[in-house]
Amino acid sequence: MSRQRDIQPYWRPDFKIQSTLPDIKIVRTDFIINAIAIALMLIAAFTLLQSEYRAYSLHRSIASMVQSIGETEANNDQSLKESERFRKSAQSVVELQDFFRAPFTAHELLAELAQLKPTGLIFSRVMLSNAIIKQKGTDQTEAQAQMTYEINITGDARGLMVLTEFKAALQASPSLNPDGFEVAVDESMQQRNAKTGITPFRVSILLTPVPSATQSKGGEG
Amino acid sequence: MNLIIDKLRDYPLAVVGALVFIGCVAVVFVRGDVVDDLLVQEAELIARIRTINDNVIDSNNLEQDVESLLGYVATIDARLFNRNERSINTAFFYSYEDKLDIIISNVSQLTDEDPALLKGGPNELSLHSGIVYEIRADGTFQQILEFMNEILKADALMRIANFEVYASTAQGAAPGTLSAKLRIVVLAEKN
Repeated sequence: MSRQRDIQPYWRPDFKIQSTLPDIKIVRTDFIINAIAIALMLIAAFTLLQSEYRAYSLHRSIASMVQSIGETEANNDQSLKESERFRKSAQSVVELQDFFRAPFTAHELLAELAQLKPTGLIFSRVMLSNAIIKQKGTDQTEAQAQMTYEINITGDARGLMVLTEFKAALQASPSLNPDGFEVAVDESMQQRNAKTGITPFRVSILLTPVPSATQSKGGEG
Repeated sequence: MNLIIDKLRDYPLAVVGALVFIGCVAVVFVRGDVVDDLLVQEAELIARIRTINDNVIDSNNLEQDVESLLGYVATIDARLFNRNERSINTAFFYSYEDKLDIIISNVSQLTDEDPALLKGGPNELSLHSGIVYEIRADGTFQQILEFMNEILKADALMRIANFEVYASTAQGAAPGTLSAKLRIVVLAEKN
């Protein structure tokens, strides 16, 4: 680009006045300043346009999604209502399962004990009782109420070997070792009757729940 | 001042470029949050659509499942005891005398509920309640075992929580007769 200069009053340039001298740099200052200004302008304009285009695209995308949500909203509400109905109905069934939750049924336990009883052992009393304990899970969460079960058998034994045999049978019985319980079998004896050779005994089976990681009840709403 | 204006007049293109640059920077600065806000809004909507899609998948055949489940619930409700119908409830247990040829000497409906079914208990009930009965019965081992089995199989929803079986001490009891003290919990309507 040419530059208008003041009319030179001299018939030849005065080399002492530098501003009147021609620009003899390899790259002219005009060019550098204009180039920088245009480059900055282009960068700024590009940034602005990009930002505006992004905003425009997002607006369109959001409008499309809002429309899509609006169309499915009614179905979604219906699904949520059905889901809530399902949850409430399921709660009743879950409570039924909780109600019947036990490591064994009473009649099966009694039948199992009768089956395991060796000859030479007489039961006089069989008792099942339960208790509630508070136990923390392995993840050290809040203590939860859990059931422990105790089976007490009292009777007479004709010889101590029979009692040992019975204890071993109890420890080996799968029915008396349900999953999730620690089983401890303990026996105690009274003095043997010298005349009859009968020893009154008491066998105690204690089932304690094994601490486990806490499980949440139910699903998300 | 004039000097500056003179200088600016020397570079008209640069001045225009600089003005456009300043204008663009100002607009970008002022509207900078718009894109961020829109991105947040878009992310929320994407999450909402994903939830709706999940709900659609989860609710597939849900209506039939609910109907089926309501059928089960109706069956459960029909089998619940009503704690106010004491005579009917007690007669229910005595009816086993004829069915199993067993002697039931006592049926007591206890006022206390099973602590396992109360709030905070391991088998806490919120939609139902539990009635506790203490029953004394006499019979052979086979009869008592059968009675215990029938209790579990009964239409009413009940289970034996505790029991005690021992050689009968009743007067005139035949040899081999056993006595059983059963603590039975029955699922009942909510109080």
